[in-house]
Amino acid sequence: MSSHREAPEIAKDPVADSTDFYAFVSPDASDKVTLIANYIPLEGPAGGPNFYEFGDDVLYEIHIDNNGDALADITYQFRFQTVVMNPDTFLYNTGPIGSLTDSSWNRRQFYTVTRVQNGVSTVLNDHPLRCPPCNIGPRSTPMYADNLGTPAVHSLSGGRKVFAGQRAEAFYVDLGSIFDLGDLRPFQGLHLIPSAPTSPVNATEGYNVHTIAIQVPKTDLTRDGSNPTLVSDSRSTIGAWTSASRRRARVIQNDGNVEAGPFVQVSRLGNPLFNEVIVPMGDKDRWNAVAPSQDSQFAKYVQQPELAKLLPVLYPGLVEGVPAFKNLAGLNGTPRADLMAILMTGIPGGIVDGFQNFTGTTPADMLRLNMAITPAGSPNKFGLVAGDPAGFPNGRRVFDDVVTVELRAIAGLTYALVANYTPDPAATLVTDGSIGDDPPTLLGSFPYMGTPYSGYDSDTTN
Amino acid sequence: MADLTRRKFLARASLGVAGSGVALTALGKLNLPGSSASSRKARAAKQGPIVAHIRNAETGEVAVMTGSKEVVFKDTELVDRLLGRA
Repeated sequence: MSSHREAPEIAKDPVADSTDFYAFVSPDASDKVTLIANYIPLEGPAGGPNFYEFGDDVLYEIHIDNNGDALADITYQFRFQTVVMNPDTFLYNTGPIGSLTDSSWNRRQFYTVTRVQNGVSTVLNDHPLRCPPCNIGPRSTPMYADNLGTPAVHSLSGGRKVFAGQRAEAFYVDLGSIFDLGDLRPFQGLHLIPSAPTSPVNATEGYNVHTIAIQVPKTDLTRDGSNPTLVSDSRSTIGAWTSASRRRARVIQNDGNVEAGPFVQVSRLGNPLFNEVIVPMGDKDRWNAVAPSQDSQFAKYVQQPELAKLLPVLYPGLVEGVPAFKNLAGLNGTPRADLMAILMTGIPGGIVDGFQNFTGTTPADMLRLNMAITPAGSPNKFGLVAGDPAGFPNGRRVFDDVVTVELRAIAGLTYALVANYTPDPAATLVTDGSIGDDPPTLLGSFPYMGTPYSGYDSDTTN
Repeated sequence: MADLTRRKFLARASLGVAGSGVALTALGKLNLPGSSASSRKARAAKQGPIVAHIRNAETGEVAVMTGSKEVVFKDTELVDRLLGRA
């Protein structure tokens, strides 16, 4: 998955497990950028009576580097607090929840948003902000979107907006296929262990996640407070990532756990699939614990990705009369400057006409967004490689097909941008295998992530 | 962290009410100033839990954590006494 359960340790700590991270110029407010960090993978909508919620003991953060050193210049922090109205019932709600203040809603979460810049912390909310409840079903959470979802969008000072709560999973991927020895559609018949073509499956369909979304003016993010208008201007590009941290010490007691010490990072996410597909098992937990500024130690995995070596072995079958990944096999041992640019430094000017999102030579996994590029009138889910510079890897929109884009890049499609190389025909055909043309209904405005699936209507097995 | 010297931190740690029981018992015997019962109670109320962690028994390295602060120091004598009680 993008980053769901991507490392051994964080897979056991879903509340702190970042699943997806998005950063894009807001299509309906082009003077602002929306940052979305999703947590808690694969929430079965019917998973009660203790429905999903953020961790009160977790520090959630979204970081911005605006000068290319891969260190956070601006950080938005989100802290949650759970309130139980009636501890004498096992119920999440004792009647229909008609509003965010409904007395029948028993277990609620509130949160604060803090902006940190130059060591100065500023709380952006003047009162505790309300999360919406989980979408239980038509009796418990009737008219969810109107009664509970929309009212949970809060305005903050400085023209900012924020939302934190359950949303429908928007990431799509054919997990069962990919993790079954890289059985990539539409090439099942060419696989080392061939099989007949089958219908595509979106393995995340019907699940929910917990979303932290904040929309801020572009001037909130640039190094000098300027409004980015020139694509070639280095001030226009930011690097962004999310992280989750826990206290260093926890003592489990019968009368309430004790936590103390500084926050220690346990999860992070910039580019989709980086830790999942690029970093090997033995380094995944360490990757989650360090900052992007320390990513040079992982550059070797980007330059020589394991998957690029596996594809020619897994697919000895022929496409257009030649082995599917013949040219890719010839790249074995060649440092992948294309992947380094896409994932670790940003793409310098001069490679793609009229585009750059280069943040400097410091190699770091950050999602890079050139904020001077305006939202596309007719977006293409394949983003930059399909001629839509407003999409991945220039930031990431919620609907971007990042799995296909990254698979094709690793398969050699983007190496032609930096060297005299002819990509294999198969590299332009491979997909993530899912039904990416039919993602869950997204919202046209903030927070863009769709209304969560309801537990009552869910057929997801919990 | 920088505003918190080891001695001040130990003094605060000795006033704590929660956390690693064995460690705090030992820390409380350091007989640091200001550890009367009344002041201990008052300061503990706003101190919050304290956790002490022996990071390396061989070198006597101990980390004391409270709130978001952590102080690391070496005290082989203290560690020896704690281990004697464990």
